[in-house]
Amino acid sequence: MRAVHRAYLIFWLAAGAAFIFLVWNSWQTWLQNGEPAIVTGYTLAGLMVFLALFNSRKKLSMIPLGRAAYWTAAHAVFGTLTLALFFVHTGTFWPGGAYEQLLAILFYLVSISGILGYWMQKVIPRRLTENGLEIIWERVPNEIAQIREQAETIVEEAAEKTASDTLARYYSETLAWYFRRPRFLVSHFFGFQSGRAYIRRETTAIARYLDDDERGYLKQIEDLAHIKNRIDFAYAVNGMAKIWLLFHVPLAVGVLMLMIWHIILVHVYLL
Amino acid sequence: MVTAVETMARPQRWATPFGPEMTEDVVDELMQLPVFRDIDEDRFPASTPLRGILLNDTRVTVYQPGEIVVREGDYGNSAFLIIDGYMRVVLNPNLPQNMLGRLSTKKKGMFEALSQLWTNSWRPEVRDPDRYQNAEASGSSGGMAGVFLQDIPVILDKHQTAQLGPEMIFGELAALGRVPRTASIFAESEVRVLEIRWQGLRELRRFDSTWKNKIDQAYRKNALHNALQEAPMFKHLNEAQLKAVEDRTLFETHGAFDWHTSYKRMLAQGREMEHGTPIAKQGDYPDGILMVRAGFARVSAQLGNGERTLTYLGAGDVYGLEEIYRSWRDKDSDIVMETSLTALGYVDLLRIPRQVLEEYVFPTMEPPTQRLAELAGAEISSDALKEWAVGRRYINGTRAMLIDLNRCTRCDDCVRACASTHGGNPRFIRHGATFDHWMVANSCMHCADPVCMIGCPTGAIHRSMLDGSVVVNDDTCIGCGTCAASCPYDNIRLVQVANLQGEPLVDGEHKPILKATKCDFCSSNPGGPACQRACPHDALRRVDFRGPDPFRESYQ
Repeated sequence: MRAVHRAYLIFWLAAGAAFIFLVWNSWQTWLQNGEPAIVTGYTLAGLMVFLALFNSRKKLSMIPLGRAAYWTAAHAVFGTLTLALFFVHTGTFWPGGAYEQLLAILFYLVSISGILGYWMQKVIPRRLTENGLEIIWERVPNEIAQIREQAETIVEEAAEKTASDTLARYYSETLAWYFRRPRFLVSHFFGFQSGRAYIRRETTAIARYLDDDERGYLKQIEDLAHIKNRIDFAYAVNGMAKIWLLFHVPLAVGVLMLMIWHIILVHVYLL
Repeated sequence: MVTAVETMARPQRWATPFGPEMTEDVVDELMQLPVFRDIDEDRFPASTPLRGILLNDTRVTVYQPGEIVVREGDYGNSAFLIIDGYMRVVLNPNLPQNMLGRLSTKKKGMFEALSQLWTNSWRPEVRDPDRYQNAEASGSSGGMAGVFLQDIPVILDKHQTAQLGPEMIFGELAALGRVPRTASIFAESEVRVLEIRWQGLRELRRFDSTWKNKIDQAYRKNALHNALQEAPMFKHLNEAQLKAVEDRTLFETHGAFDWHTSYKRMLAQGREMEHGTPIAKQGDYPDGILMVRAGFARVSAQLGNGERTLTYLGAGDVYGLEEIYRSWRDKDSDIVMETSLTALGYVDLLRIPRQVLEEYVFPTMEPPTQRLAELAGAEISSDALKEWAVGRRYINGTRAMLIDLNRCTRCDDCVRACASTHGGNPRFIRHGATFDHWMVANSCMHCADPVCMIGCPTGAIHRSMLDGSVVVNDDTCIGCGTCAASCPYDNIRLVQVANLQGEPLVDGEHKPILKATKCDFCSSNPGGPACQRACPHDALRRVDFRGPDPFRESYQ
């Protein structure tokens, strides 16, 4: 068993035990006419702070704070515990009061984005690997520019060698759009093949107007288009993983802010 | 936008002499020693004259009785010539670690490490130019002054030792072979020693045949003795028997010492596997075993029209034992070698003749395990990763960065962690050769055979004396790019450095000042390599390709 899997097991056991204890404690407090939300509320607050620390740990890589893989495991497990405890604390899916509802909406959004992130973390690596083309995300514009330059060189050479401007005209009318920047990003992310379909459609459309020599040049452009299609795929899928963090982290900060104000309000008006 | 530049003198090879106290007078004195007196100075090129080598690549050190000069297990980049006095080499058993006074590395404290959070410059590759004016070459030294053995008579009583006297050379094995020191040596009397860093040793060996013979003979003799002494199959032999084996053992070197040249050519030609230098062929008569002393060799068997890699051999591994043993046991002279052996790059071998084995080893030896049959019986597809790792010579890596692409989300947290521990500058690129779902990223692998060290004119790139990491001394690096060009895996990068204001440093001709940079395995940071710790998906590991199967899923 990998060390990280062992960590997951330990965290799940700890989270399960903590959840059972908190439910039992809440039940006992309720039976004694106490306020169980105090314990569950502060536990929830503590858990949220702990979950937020994961991001800080990433910024403090220069000191040994434990392997980030363990933090990821703890983040996933105790994030689930936080979601479960939220329902124990509120006693409902939809609390009353505008402020609490706003807090709940943000909390649900953070939770959903967290689950989405966990799913992406499991799915994205394999999808990128099976794409068969490793590329550093920040270098994608540069790579596409190089491919575009190669495509345009081929088109110029075709016009020069074949004394025909058909391919050049078609390139400027249609294919230039494709080579300009990453395309079909949404399709790529959801696993559709719009890029390949586009290449097939457009190369078939022009092929009937070309002679054998020109078709040779078209084949070269088609090969480049397929490489670009794979780069687009990597850009879309990898990019989504990066964009996701821009949602999850600010939403989490929002929840923390609202949570602090919520605690202050509870202490001022209810306790 | 940066417009200003700061000018400084371009660092030169001998800008930082090995011994700052070396003077022309000391060189004159050294030139009177018999080992230097007879050297034909005209054979040395004008750019590296003999006197220049002595002045800049050597230093004279005086050791007091009991003082340790080299410690067994340390990496060192220099050899030693005894000028006068006597030393003792501890042969058996080795001195205990506490007696050797091993120094702890100067690692950053927690606060110092944390302070990088606000002290790291947002400008790339910033340096304080003043430090280059006070550079010291000690970082690449092989000597270690200041540790004394307390009770020498007891040590002489309890340990087998040998005396080393004037004009004897030692330490050349570690300096030239890029391997750890094999024995500890201490001063028996007050002793003056000439320490020669390996760049100087290389030049002496290259331009003077007497030195070449002297170094090679010492190198071969010591290598042979140590290797045989450490081999499990000879453990039971007494000194006389071991000497008999030693006398009849041959020392062979196959392939090129600077094998990276042909390796790079192979990659440039798009080939995955170099043919390598053949050492033994399948079907040959087994006339002796081959024991690897340094370097790597490939064991292969013919499969179809190609060669299938069954395994690879590193230091201490033996080739041909199974066949010879069977031939001896079954008295069957028709048994031939079932596999071929090829040098991967260069390999130092000991050839131990069959007769020696039959006389001293086989009668008391347990039958060797039938490993070859097992390896040959494995599914062909299961060999693909091994073939790739061997073909690409990743087997050279002791701390290679292996990324499981099926786990890696390409978040680059590893790159950011590296930058945060190296002044804001990442020391690797999360990119590299891939096979299946594995990537060996462009990060220094801290090779078992670090060919990057071969050409360094100043010794700036060297093995850390503590943990064997290959590190660059930024202060003495002259930015010549030899190491970057030599690295077979493109894991060293030359960067243009800037002063604290971010202004590029240039020399008098307005050419940029460059420095070689690479992964230092976070040797000065607490907690080990930050990249591995920072990976949130357990995808990145630093692995020793010579150890347990690094691709095995459960290995962690």
